[in-house]
Amino acid sequence: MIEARSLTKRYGSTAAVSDLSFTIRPGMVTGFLGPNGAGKTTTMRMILGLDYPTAGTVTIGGVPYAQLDYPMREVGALLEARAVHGGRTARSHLVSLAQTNDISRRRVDEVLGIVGLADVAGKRSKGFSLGMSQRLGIAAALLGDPQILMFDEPVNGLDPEGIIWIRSFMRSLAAEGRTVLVSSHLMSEMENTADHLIVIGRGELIADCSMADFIARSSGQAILVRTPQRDVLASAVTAAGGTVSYTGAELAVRGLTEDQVAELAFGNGIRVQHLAPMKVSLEQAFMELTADSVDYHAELPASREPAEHGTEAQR
Amino acid sequence: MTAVTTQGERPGTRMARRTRAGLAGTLRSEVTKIISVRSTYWALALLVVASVAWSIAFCAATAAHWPHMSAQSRAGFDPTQSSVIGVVLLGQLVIATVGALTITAEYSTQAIRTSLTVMPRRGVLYGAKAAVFAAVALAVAFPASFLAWFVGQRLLVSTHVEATLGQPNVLRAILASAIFVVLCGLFSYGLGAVLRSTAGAITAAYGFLFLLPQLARALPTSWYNDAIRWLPGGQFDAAISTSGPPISSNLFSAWGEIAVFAGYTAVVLIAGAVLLRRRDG
Repeated sequence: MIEARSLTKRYGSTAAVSDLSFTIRPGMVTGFLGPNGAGKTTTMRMILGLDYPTAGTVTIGGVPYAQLDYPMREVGALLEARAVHGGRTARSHLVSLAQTNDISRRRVDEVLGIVGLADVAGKRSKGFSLGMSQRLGIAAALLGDPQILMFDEPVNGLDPEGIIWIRSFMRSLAAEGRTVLVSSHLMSEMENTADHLIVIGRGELIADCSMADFIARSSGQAILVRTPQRDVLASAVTAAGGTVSYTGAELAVRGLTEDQVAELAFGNGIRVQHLAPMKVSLEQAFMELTADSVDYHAELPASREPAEHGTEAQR
Repeated sequence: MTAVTTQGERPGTRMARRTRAGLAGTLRSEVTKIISVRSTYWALALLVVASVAWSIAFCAATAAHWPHMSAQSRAGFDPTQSSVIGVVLLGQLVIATVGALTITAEYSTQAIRTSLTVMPRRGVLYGAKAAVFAAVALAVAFPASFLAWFVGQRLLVSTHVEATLGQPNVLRAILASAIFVVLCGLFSYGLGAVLRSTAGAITAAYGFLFLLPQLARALPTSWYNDAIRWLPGGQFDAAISTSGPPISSNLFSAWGEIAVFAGYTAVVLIAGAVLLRRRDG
């Protein structure tokens, strides 16, 4: 369990993190979400005792990180996969880390096997791909068999195979009852991984809730109905206490459940061609929530909207 | 996917007595680090080769030239100093680089984050690093000094002025040159911790060790004579001469020169430790 209380970090007059309080619980993947520059890495560095908070505290099971007897046996962290001396072999790198916490060489070989690097254990890590470096970083985090694992932007720059591997790996760690904290600036990344979300923007807490709550909170759940008798259904819905809006050829119903809408249509003899909950894009929700907290908004040229922006928002 | 947990107990619960990650493990870790990169071997081999090569070149040339040398030159020739001065002049170049890199390489690769995460007691990490580096430097510098001296004396046999270990101050000169090299390395290590940049630390080390004594020459002679003994690099070539104390009228004794430089090294090392503990990692 990681507990932050009024955690604040200031650089001069700029607050990287201000008055952040949260609790990260075991047995689930907690997504730590925020735009680039929101203070995610700074917060993680403060958890690990790398940066000193200007104010507030953060503890691991009630103890500041630097006072843990065997830090590697409590917390495993992957901050930056490439942050290793490339001239050292994977095994030597892990052995040097293991020795500081009196962890056996047998465990080094074990974690090399777990992350699938046993075959290249004797190779110098400067020749590693980003995916392999990431696995080496995870191996290092696992050395002490810690109950808490922290990953900072773990899928950045990974190929699809690597992304899938790391996602399922984080899920399996949480399933074993561990505390998993994973940061990302991409909402889509959390969609398949996180159970709980902590969202920050400009160093301030925006949301601390379950994934389900986060989705529900954003712009209301709507049900999309396609029917040739739109107006009939619209008046039926309104009479039943719901609200409607026209979206293209379809009707968006709010305030009623899917079942209620289906019953209404059946009762009124309305032919329905399609009825489904409108999937609220998590990215949309995330962007709505953090819209005010992005440091620099890019003004989109009115004439040509970038294609990637469009697809991302619709996903 | 493979289960992550080890068989049996968790490693942290194995011992009933309260123990914590500390100096012993960190020392082992630093030994692993220093012996597992090739650059260590290249640099230390270079230290030995350069020291001996200087000795060979200087002593062989002197031996060849000896019949033509004036009586005055012959009298001023110090066979021990001539054979180990390469250890001081070239050795400090090499060891200052290795010493700085011992800590700045961790900053340039950002591996320092990992090091400070696995060993958050920063003073322990800093001390272990310095101790392991110093031990390795000592283990190489002493043999290098002896080898350079020994080879030099063999080459000077024809001059009949070659030194023996039993002669006054010969052993002192050999030891002093090796100790000076180790201190240069630690001095540079401390600068590395303060500046956290390889280029910065090496430049600063060379600046203090080479440039400062040269700049001091711009001073009026009387000032220079007062100042030079207090400078970090000073005139260490004088400290490894075998002439009896005082080695030079404007310097401390050989051990005094070492003590002054050791003092500067301690100051820089302490500054590095304080900053490492105080600054964000």
